Amino acid sequence: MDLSDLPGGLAGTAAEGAAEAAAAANGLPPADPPPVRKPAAIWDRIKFLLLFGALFLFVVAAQVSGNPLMTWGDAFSIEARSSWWLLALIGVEMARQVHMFIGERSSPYYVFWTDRVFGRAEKRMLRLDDWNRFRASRAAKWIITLLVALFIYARVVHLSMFDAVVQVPSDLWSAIPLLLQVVLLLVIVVGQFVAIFWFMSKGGVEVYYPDDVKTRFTDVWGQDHVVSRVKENVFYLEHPEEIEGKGGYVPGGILLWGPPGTGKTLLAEAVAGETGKPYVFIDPGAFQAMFMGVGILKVKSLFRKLRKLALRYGGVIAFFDEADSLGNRGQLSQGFNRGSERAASSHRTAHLASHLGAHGWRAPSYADGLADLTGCNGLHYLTDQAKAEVVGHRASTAGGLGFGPDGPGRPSGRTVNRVVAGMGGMGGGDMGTLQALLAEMSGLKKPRGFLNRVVRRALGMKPKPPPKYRILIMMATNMPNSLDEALLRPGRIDRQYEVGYPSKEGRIKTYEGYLAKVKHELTDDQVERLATMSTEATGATIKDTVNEALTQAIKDGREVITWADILRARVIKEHGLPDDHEHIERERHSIALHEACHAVVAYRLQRGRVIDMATIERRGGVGGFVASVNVEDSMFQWKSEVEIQVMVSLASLVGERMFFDGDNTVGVGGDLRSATYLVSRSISMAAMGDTISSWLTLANDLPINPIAVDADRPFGEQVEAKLQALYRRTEDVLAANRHEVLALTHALETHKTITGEDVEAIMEGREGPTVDGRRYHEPEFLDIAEEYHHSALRAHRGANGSELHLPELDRVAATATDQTASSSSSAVAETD
Amino acid sequence: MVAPGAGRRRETWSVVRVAVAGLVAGALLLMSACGSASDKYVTNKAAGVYVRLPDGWSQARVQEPLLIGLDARQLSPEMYSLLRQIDWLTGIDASGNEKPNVFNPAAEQPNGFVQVRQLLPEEAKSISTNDLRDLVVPIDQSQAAQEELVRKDPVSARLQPAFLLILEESVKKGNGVHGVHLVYQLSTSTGLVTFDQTSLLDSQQTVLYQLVMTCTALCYAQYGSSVTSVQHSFTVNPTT
Repeated sequence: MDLSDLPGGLAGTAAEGAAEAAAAANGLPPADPPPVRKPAAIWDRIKFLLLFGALFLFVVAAQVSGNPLMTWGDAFSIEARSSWWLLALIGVEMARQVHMFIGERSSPYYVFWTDRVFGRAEKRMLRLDDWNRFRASRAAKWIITLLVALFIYARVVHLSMFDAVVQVPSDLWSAIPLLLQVVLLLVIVVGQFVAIFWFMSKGGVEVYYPDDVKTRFTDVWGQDHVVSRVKENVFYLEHPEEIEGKGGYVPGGILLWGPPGTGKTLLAEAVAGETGKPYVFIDPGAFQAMFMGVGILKVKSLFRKLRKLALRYGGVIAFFDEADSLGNRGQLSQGFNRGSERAASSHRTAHLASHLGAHGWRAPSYADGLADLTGCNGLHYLTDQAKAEVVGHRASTAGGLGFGPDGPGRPSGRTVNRVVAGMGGMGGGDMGTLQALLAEMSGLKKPRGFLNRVVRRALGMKPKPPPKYRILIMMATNMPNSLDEALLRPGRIDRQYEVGYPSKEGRIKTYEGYLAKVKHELTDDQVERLATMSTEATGATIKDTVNEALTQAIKDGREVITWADILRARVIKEHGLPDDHEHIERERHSIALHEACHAVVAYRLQRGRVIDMATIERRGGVGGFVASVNVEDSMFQWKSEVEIQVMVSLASLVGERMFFDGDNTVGVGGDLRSATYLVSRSISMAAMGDTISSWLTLANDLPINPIAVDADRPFGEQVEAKLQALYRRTEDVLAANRHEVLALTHALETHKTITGEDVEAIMEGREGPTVDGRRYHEPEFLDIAEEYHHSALRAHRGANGSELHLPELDRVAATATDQTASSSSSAVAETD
Repeated sequence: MVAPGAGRRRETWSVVRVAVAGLVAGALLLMSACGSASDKYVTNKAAGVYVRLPDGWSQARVQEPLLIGLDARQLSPEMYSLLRQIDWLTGIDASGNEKPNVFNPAAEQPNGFVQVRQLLPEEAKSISTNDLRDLVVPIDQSQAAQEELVRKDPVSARLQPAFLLILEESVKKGNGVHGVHLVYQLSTSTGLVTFDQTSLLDSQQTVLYQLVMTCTALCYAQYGSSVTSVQHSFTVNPTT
């Protein structure tokens, strides 16, 4: 066997080869070839030699260059002396290569170095624990760095390294002026930025101290339940021991949410007035900044201030008005028209809705694109619940997320709306502001103070734990669904209170409060009736209504507000000013009749609601309407009530057909839409039809075709049957009230707009505020009205020469007077 | 048929040969480094001044200006510090001492200095080639005094001259560098000494380059050739 063929390659490894041969001879399986180093490529062998050689040549050439007397030999000799370290490196590299070379050929040599030398060294090294090794290496790095620096310094100052060590302090001392200049320059440059950002991070935050604000809880009318809850929170802030002593903690956050103008800010102001703690008011735009990062700085600076105040005064209240301006991180990634994220978003909203309570409030006009929901009557005659259902339905089909009584709506089809509802699509402030706020609200609380953090630690003492900062964060928004979910979690905003429409007592108090500031002749009963009529009035709208009434009075040259002024102001405020449009007579009659039918059915059937006003004055696309208001704050609708709502809706169609020989206008379209929707929804959800199953649940939550519930009758047929039944009932109502319909039609044609009290007066034959209803119950009236209606009907059929003349009731009254004069009736005087 | 291991064996030996050659080259390099040549060249690349010294000579940078040719009493401290900044001076000594004699006429071995000095503005205005002659010893005055002595006592004055100008030649080098080369003997209290003095100006006459060597007259007679070789190697290539 050729020894050179052995795995080791060299004759020196003959022993191994022999051992292997012996093993083979003994019948043992051949052992693995003995380990050797992997042969290196030729480039790896020479690269450092070339590098160092080239460097040496370079320094020799540098020595020769420019010196006309220098010979290459002398230059070589000189550099061999002065740049000896290069030659030493070459020598070391050569020795290393020889070592590698032998390792590639000789297994024992290789094993000796890897196992015995390096292996042992490594084992010794590993005896040190990781932390000690890290420290040793860190110290070694420091020492090497300092030595290199010293070496360079010594070369620069032409001293030996030992002399240089002595020289360093004095040189440092002499360099201090230069260092100070550099530091000063840095301070100026950095200081400019610091100053700019410091100035920019200020502002938008106002601190009120106790007694700065005069508003008290007693000034907040009609929100007693919220006031008592907020009082409770403020109490805990001011007496933390009451709850902390018992193992609890002071609630840190309150969210006040509800429709605009319901007194959220007033409530917060009352907190400021009542509390003995400083009160920090944060502007909605406080975190909006021109530069990235300033918002974050502002948040940090705000919370620094809050912590300082909290420590100094034992607590602090921070109020974020219009908290929706803080934005929502969800919107950042959402962008426009990204359908894939809609489901998640709707889930989030649903979650939020559950946070906000089952009967979450939602202002439809903000996001739902419901501008076309005016139809014939603008839904004014529907109850709130019925309206909310229709609105919720429309919102979900339009794309917004309805927040009706039935909970959140369906996933959006039009993300734009939601984005508009939020923060214009870019979250509040700049990126990171909200996150900074979240972190500050429930982030890590670090120990305070230099003494605490540095000196105590240096002495080996534990730093004192961070103090308890008692910061009560209050937020107010009318768009709770645009707040970030993380903001509302317990620990940040513990409590969420709905500041809804004020209670009736609150409204009475508010009316009385604002009326007390002006001259008026309203009785207590009228004020109460006013409060009853305006179930959704807020402090702001009441103030506005009273002011509008005063404007109306002044317009009439009076200083004293009358009941009529108030009613007129309500109409203007709730329904807007009518267009300056005169209906043609035929149309005027049909519109008045249409509205009269709504009003009559509503008057005869509705419970808990009264008619607020009826008008045939055009407002935009609405030809006229009958508006009703709640007189009681009921929460649920009964099936019978929904049916009444449907009948009120259908009344226009029934009436038009009844009075116009089966003809009807397209103006009933809106009413039919509402009626159909209410019926189909109630059948599918509330067992209003012949079935009990919730069709909605089947369709939405289970993979069952809801048609299967009553397969023999299509759903549309059931809806139609229900509508037909209700149609017939409406017909009965209107047929029994033909006189009243004609009376109201006449009153509407005459006065264009009449109040609910007038409607009541006409229906009951009493004197109303603007219309004397008694005249409509005089026996002649029906003939005159029928005659007038027939002339209108003839005009409608297109008969020539049939001109419409609205009969004046003065004539009727005169006729009545003539007839009764002889019969010594005493009621005549009152008919004028 | 070539044995399977033959190729590898050849490769092995070629690598071994390279390694051995490398080691030998490294050893030679280290050995050559033992013979010092670093003292052989007086070099100021910034000013473009080069002098080659014979083997065994030593050189050392001198930080203080020698003030030769200047009246130290009229020198203000500001001017002195200015001179320190603009003066480059290296002492050279044939004795090979680490601290060479810098301009010691009584020494037994040639010594002296190489100097580059930015002339002071008032000097630059007035200096002429003739003035270069008087920078170490006022030549004309010394010659006149010697002639006076010869006139008074022609024999002894000629046998033991107080001053003897051996060589005076004008020097013109490249780039407009010009000046004078003088060799003269001077009688001092320690005996007769010889000066070999080369003074040059650049073309703008703003920088003074000097190579001055001196030792006793006997020493000069002995080492004259070395001194001459040093003087011949004096190279000026102004960089500005």
